[in-house]
Amino acid sequence: METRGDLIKKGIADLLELPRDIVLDLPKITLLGNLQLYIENHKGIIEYSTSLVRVNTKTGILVVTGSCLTIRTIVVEEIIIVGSIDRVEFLQ
Amino acid sequence: MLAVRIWNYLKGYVIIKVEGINLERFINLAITNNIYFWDIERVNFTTLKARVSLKGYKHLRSIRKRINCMVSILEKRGCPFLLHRIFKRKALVAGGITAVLIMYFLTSFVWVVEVQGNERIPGERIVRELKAFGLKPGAFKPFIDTREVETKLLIEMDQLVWVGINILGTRAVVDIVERTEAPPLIDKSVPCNIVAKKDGIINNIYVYQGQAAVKSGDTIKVGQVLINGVVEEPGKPIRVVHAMGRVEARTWYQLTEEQNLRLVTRERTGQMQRGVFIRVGGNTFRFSRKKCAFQNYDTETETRRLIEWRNITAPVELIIEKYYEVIVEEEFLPVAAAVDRAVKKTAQRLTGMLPQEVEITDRRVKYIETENQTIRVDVIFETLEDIGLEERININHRED
Repeated sequence: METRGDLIKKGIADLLELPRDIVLDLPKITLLGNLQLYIENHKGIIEYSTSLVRVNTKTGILVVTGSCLTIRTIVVEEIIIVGSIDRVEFLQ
Repeated sequence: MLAVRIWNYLKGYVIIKVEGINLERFINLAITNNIYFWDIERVNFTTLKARVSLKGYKHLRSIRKRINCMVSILEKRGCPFLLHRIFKRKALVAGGITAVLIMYFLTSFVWVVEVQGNERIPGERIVRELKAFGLKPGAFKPFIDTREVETKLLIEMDQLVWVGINILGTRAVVDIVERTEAPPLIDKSVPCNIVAKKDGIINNIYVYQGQAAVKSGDTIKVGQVLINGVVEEPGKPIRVVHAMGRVEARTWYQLTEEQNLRLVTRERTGQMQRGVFIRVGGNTFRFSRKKCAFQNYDTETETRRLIEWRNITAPVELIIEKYYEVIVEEEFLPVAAAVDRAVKKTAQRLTGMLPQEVEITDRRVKYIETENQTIRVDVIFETLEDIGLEERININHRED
């Protein structure tokens, strides 16, 4: 998935110690116990049900499985998923 | 998070139900159109429940057209809807506004006139006088010139030295200071005797004018003539003068004090709690939530009544109790210390009782122990004081 441009950007980010999530447009994911998942910089929601949420990001599809999942907030930049989270994984 | 929720509530939001096949696409489209969604809940495969702001809901229509789905409102929440519902009930709103206006109207009157600081003059008399100057229950506040009323009352009532009127809400609080009356002085041209105002033994007698009727060492009784205004000298006509002089006598005061040997001190820690009660009729209701948490405390109770008009009192009272936390300490006093303490107390009481310029020359202390670990202390104070009092001579009587 990484292009030549991405590699250059990564190099610059490393060199200048810039935060990588901004330069490389990566999602920033914060997991609060198994209660809440906070995804910053997502690219849209692909699937949503109470046991499975799939969110598109730059690095692939983020799959969240669990039970009683609800979307607390959703705006262009961020999603907050609450419920009982069992698993978080990336699918390429 | 709470702030956001309050904000949403103020702005108003709706709970919607979305039915369709590709609901994820619906969400994605909505957020790219800057529609704010929250609390999204999947009900089943084809249904979704979510909350959306009012503004967002209006924009949803364009999305709804692009995707095949049905949006229906389940519930409307927030201020705008609440206000709308309230304003539909015109009579209620009108009633509310009228109530506020009536309240405002009624608060522009004085309802209670309170007099503070009077000792000898009955409060009702002052209230009656104030009524004549326009300060009475039912008076319109803007028409009352408190300064003017103060001056008028001062002129009208001689016994007053100072008057201050404060209008606090619907109460007019009248603070007064009474004149302390000087003892009646007899004019120097009027003949008089000097008589004893107390029992005692004469210590010294200085006669400026008149004739001494007693000498030092004499025992005297109340009302006895000390310096005679009628001067009789052999070979001269009887003269009647204004007797003047200073009669110093030893007088005694006996005071009794009981002192418990078990001394309990209650010292306030500075911690305070308040309890608010409302008494309606005979029932008292607690208004504040908590009970007093202190183990030892002193209670001060303050009762506030609503307006009193004519003989009608509102059956509602507000009772405010203040609890001051205290530290209770117990100690046993030795007898000598207890006597000392009692004597000090009596001395304090005595200085409160005595007129000025009185010298305490001696004291005798007797005590007996009574039951319940108390002692009874009798203290006899010997004092030196001027016991002279001017008394007018009735001339007519003399001429008989």
